[in-house]
Amino acid sequence: MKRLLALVTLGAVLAFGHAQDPGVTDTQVLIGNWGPQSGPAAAWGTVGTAVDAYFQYINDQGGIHGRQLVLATRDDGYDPARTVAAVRELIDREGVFAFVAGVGTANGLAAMPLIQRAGVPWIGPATGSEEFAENSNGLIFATFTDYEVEAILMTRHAVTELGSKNIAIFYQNDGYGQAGLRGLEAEIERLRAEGHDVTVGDRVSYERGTTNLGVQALRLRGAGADSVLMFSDPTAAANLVNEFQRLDYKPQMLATVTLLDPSLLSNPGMQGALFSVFLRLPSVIVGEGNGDPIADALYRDVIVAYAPQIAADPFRALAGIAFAEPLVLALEAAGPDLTRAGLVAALEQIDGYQDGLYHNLSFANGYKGNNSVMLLQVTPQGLRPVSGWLEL
Amino acid sequence: MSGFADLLQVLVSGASVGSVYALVALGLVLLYRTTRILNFAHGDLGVLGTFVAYTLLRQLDLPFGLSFLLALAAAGAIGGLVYLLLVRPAKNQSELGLLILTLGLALALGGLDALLFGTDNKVVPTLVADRIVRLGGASLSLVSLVTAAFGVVLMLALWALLGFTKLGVAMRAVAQREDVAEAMGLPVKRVLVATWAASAVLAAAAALLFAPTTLLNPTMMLDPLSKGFVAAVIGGMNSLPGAVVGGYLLGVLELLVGIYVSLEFKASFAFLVVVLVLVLRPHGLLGRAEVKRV
Amino acid sequence: MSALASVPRPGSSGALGVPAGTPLLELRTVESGYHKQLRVLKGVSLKLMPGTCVAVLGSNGAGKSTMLKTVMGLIDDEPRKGTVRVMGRDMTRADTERISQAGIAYVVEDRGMFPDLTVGESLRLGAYHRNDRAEVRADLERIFGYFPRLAERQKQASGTLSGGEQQMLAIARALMSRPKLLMLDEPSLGLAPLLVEEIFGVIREINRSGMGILLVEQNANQALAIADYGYVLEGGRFVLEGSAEELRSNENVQEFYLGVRADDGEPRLHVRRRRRRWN
Repeated sequence: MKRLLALVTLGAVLAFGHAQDPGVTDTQVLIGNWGPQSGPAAAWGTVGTAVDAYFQYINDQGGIHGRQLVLATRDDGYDPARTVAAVRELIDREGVFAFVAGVGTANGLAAMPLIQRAGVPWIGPATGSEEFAENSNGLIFATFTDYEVEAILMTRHAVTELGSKNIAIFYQNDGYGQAGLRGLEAEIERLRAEGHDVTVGDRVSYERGTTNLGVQALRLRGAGADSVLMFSDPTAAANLVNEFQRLDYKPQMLATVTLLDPSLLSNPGMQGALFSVFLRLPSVIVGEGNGDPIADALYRDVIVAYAPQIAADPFRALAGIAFAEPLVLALEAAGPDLTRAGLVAALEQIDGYQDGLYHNLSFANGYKGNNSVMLLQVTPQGLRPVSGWLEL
Repeated sequence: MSGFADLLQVLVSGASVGSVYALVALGLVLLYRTTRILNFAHGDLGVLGTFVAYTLLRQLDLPFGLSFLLALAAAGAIGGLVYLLLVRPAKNQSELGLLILTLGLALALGGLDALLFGTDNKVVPTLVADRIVRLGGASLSLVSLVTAAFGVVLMLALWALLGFTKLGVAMRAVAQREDVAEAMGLPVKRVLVATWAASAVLAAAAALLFAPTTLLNPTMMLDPLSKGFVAAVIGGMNSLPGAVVGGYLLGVLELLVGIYVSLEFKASFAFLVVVLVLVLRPHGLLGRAEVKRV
Repeated sequence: MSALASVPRPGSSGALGVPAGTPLLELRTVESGYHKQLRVLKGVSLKLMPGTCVAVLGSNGAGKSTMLKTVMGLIDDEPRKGTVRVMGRDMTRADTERISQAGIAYVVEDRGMFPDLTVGESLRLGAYHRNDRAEVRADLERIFGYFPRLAERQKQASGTLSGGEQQMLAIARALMSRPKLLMLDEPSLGLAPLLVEEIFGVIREINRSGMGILLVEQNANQALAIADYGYVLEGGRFVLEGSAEELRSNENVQEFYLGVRADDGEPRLHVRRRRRRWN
């Protein structure tokens, strides 16, 4: 009898399943998010603010299938323990339908098991770690070009376009930096096989938080590297570049998107350095006339119109929109009967989408939706694009 | 690069970062030998001073030298106030209690920095425009040389204060026998305020010299503070010349280890040195065994 | 002691604005101790006139050091009862700095060396509150007259001095503040007899120059040889007082503080402890 009852219940769930997923009503969809509004990485709080602004922008245009997008966001102070508490609350108490963005590798890794156990889709983790896409389980959809891919694309550009013969890497001794190292070594091997005369001059690491980087600078100069990939945090990069200046050593620097920090860009030693970015950038960053029209429009219509307080930080603001973009696309595509399964199916069908902030968004071949970067150069006038889209 | 040029480069780079370590260590030791307090808020006092300088420089457009001096003065005043408002009222606390007090102060000052100045990275300009001086195949940066020189000037100033002024001699006296200094009718409270102030000035000077080589944010001094502790231990916690020697030694040794041994080892090297010193020479290179007073 | 009469005494002339006949130091029924609970002094009264040398005799734990620390204001919230007056002014529970500047210098029992400071630095530290540079230099010369050995060792770290030299430095350092009253806690402690002799000779000289001396000692022989007046402190109370002569001739003082046997003075194997009865 009990078994029969269970079967009937199961049948009912399957038949009216769409009504059972949390966070969805006829009038709204509740989406969860976390990020540092306080603490050492508080500047990244801009991402959450931008997502919220984007949702308001969508809502003012009628929402999606008559539903308003509502963002439930929590400040975790960049502390993984607080991220876990926030995510638990968002799942259990708020009953969010999906997660969007979420800043920080360590924070994301801490929250990942909880999110997966609850079966909540998570779109656009705001970190370039490959862990999320690789452990997707069909729930996590990454759009941040991962660090290894970034290193591969930067290396290829340095060798094939800039003629680098001796390329070295300066990396933080953790998952982030090691991903960069893997990308460099793999790509150099491939290029040598193709007949390019290039070597890895040195692999120079540092521990997070150390400040005396004179050794690293001396080693890189000693190796005679003509190009240096930089997989560090902005502070370490600033220390290293200052040491370079003291040593009168001027290699071509190629830096990850993580280093795109205004204070570092203003360092005179960074003149001429290349930065990789994984999304289209507006004129406000790359100079009047150089901006991508898609980015210009979103910056104007979403950021300036809905969140002028973050307009001074255009990169992180647009990144926030970019992380939420696939979610909005998929909510649209999933149709009015919204379920998590339907959302995931719609996400998996995104293939070669080029009308948003990404050059080429695609989840048809895996959960890394974006594998392209563009290189910008630091010039006295500011950042300027110097390459087209580089793609894996 | 020739061997000599290599060595010269290491010595100059090491001396530059070493003078920051030495200044941090001096401030820590100055306070420790007088009060038996290991001040965990030392770095945060320095960062606060640097934020003051940054504000004067960027928001009030004061000239660099003036901002620098005013920031040192502000740090000194804050150091004195810390003693009067926090440490003196807690004077019957155990050493552990005072240690925890400074830990709490460190957290509070870090929070204050974040609140007043934000957590984003800021750029502090250098004392002079940088120029490269070539010497025997080594490239010497003017900024490094000026940093090292300024550190030395401050150390000489401290030496003169302690050796040749009434207040300085009284500071040493209070450090050695506070009870006797009090019994002699010396102004012990004023001397302790001066000691805290001098220690905070040294912290701010270290942070101000260090800031242009990195980015200013509330956690900037974490690493230099731990290295300063190491330098102080190397030199012997109660020896001021030891702190200076320890600072420069650590700065240079770190570079040598990173270049000739391994970079991974460099990170833990400082702490290996501490273990070695504590095992082989518990009172440091220039320290003195402490006689427990009854 | 007759020589004392010929020495001019600044305190007695009234030149300092203090009426003649005012004691340099006066304790009235002072009760003091530690941590609010332990009561060490159980009501002591003492008077020290300008230019005189007063000795306080007592064994270990009698409360001698506690008395000096109480006078100096070194024990928080003590004395709990009674009054301390310095040259007529109430200094009960006053700041040590103020008491010191009123003219009292205190030589602590262990000599209170600052081991890393040189002899010269230590002496100048004694003159911390003085701004009369020329006078300070003159005083330094005068003090080197008392202790020629310190003059030779001006540049030496005081921690490296011998015990006797440290005692000399302690006294010299106290003199540098130009006190009107010098309080000494067991200056003979741990010194060889010859050195004790030398130090007490200097103390007597200082006293003759007109400075008041409050001398706390176990070595009653030496103390009473230079003192004008003495007190015997036992269990936190003065059990006997009188002129130095009177004390020297007191039977109890002779037996317990001067080491003179009550009977024939022959060594005995079995000493029957005689109970001390004062009055």
